[in-house]
This record gives sequence, structure tokens and C-alpha cells, in this order.
Amino acid sequence: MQDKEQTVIDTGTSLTCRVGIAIVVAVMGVHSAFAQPVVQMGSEVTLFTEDFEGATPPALPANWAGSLYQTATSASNPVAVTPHGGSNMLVIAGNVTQYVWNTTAYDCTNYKDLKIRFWMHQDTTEGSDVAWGDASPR
Amino acid sequence: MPDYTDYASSVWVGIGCTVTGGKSLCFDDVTLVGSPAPPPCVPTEGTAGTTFTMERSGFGNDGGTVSFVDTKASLKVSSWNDSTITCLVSKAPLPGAYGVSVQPKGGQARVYPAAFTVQPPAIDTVDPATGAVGATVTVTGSFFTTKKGKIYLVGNGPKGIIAKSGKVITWTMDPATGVSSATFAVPKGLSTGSPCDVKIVLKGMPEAVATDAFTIMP
Repeated sequence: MQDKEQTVIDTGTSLTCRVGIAIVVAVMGVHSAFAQPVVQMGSEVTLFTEDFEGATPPALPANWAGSLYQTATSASNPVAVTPHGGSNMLVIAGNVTQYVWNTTAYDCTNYKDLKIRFWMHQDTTEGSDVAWGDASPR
Repeated sequence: MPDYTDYASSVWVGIGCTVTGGKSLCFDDVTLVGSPAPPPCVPTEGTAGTTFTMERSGFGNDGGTVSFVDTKASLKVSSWNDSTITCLVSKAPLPGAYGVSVQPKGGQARVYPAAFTVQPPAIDTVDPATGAVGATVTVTGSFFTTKKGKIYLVGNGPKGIIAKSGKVITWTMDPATGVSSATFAVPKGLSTGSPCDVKIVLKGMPEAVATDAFTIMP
């Protein structure tokens, strides 16, 4: 396992073609030292944030939907993992590609350069494991 | 009519992942951030002859069409690139707020609700306030449009209240701000010494009236 920090630009047609929003996903490292935004903040405004503290594990927080995802206070495959902050985090395990959504519509009419950031813990021995932020017009 | 679900006025936020080997992926502190953007149309208001700019991303570089929603009034695209579109309001609908639809060539339409407000003409000043028949009078105000309209003096005539049009000499409107000015010659046929209304008449627009704003002198 190794520390990881990366920025990914998602130009998926489901978003870019429909609404013209570039989504930047900032994947933070497994240690707190890497829990810094990798994109300059500038005049950014936070439109939405979720720390999963309002959920009772294993249930997802209100307005979240996604099968196979659960909240948890820890995970242990392959090593012990604790939340980035607070008591809860979001966990998925298995051998699958899956989405999880907050189904509240967030107004972004007067914003540009939308970015989704999240902290992630990944077993880097699994080279094909990937994650991305996504936004869907509603 | 464009599908209102096709604009990006709101989004759902989510995460997708591919996990393999039965292992776990863990996530926390999901955040959506954005930078304040200018209004979809700048300026946000105007009339026929107004030029506005739209700054967003992903318009594409192949051009397209821009139109007001729910009206046949037309917009003419002056320039187009992936981030900026410039449009001329070639024919204005009735005053009010209108959605603006952007249809990139070969792409998905976007609609920006109530993005542009069509304003009626308004008179701010009439200068001078008095003058003889044939004198030149300047009317200033806003949203006169860039197409020359008619200017009337409305006052006492031989048989009661009448309206007489004055010959329009000049007519201008700033296409960005709507600041307008027109000059006209005082017409014959109205009584002297009593105040007249000054009225601007544009096709397809409410009239702009300055009450008792001008008096014809002998």
C-alpha cells in the first residue's frame, strides 16, 4: 500500500455534453497529511458537503441512494481503516462497479467550474480499483 | 419548447467506483464546490438592438442557435466559441423576463430560465422644456431600441386633445447599456403656452410618456 494523491478530470459525456460542467475529482491520500485540497480554492464556494456523521451505520444518510454502499465506523479489508474525520465513513466492498448518489438537487445556476472532492482510502495493490465524482443534471 | 430538465440549474452529487478483489473502498468528506459565475446573459436586460454575452463552458466551437423561450422574437448570434456567445436581440418580445435557450450544433440544448429581461422604453429627460415650432428637442432615456420610432407631442389642439408627430432627427441607443437619446423637431398644430406630453411610440412595445414635459412657445 502506498500514499496516493491524484487529480482526475472527468469529461464523461453524460455531464459535459449535457450541461457543460467539468468535474474535477480530488482523491486524497490515506493519511491525514494528504487531506489537503489538490485544487486551489480561489473564490470557491462550498455548495454541498457530506461527512456521513448523520447516518446510523450501516444505513446511508437521508437522501442518499446506492446499493452495496454502507456507512461504517471502520473497515478492515485488507487493512484497518478509520474515517477521515468523525466517526463514520462510506464503504463499499466486493467486485463491482457501482454508484451512490445524494438525491437532493443542488442549485448551481450561478456557479461555474464545479468540482467534487472526497477523501478516499484505496488498496493500491488492486490496480484496477478507481473512483470518481459525478454530477447529474436534475 | 425545450425540455427544462436539460439545463444545469441543479445537480445530484455522487460517487462512482470500481472495486475489485472483494476489497473495500472507503470514502469520507464529499464536497461540491463551485466558483461564482456571471449571470447567464450580460447585460441581463435590454431590448431590440441590445447585444448580450453568455459566458459558460462547453458551448462547443461549431456554433449553434440562441433563442428566447416561448416567444417568436429572434436573437442573432454574433460570435460563438466554447466559452462565450455574443447575441444581438434583433427583435424583442413584449417586456418581461424570458428564458434563453442555447442549442449547440449537434449538442444538447440548455435553457437558462428568466435569464434576460426585455425592458420597455422609458423617458428620463426632455430638453429644452420649451421651444417654438421647428425647434430641436432632445429626449433621453432608456431602451428606445436601435430602430427609429416615432415621437409625438400630445396637447391642446383646435378641437381638443390631439397628438402630433415631430420629425425624428437622430435616434441612438447604446447596445450594451440601453442608454438612449433622440432628437425631434417641434411639430405644428398644437396650442402654444400649455404643457404637452412627450410620447415615444415603438412597434410592439408599450409607449413611453413624459407627462407635461414640453411647452410650445409662440
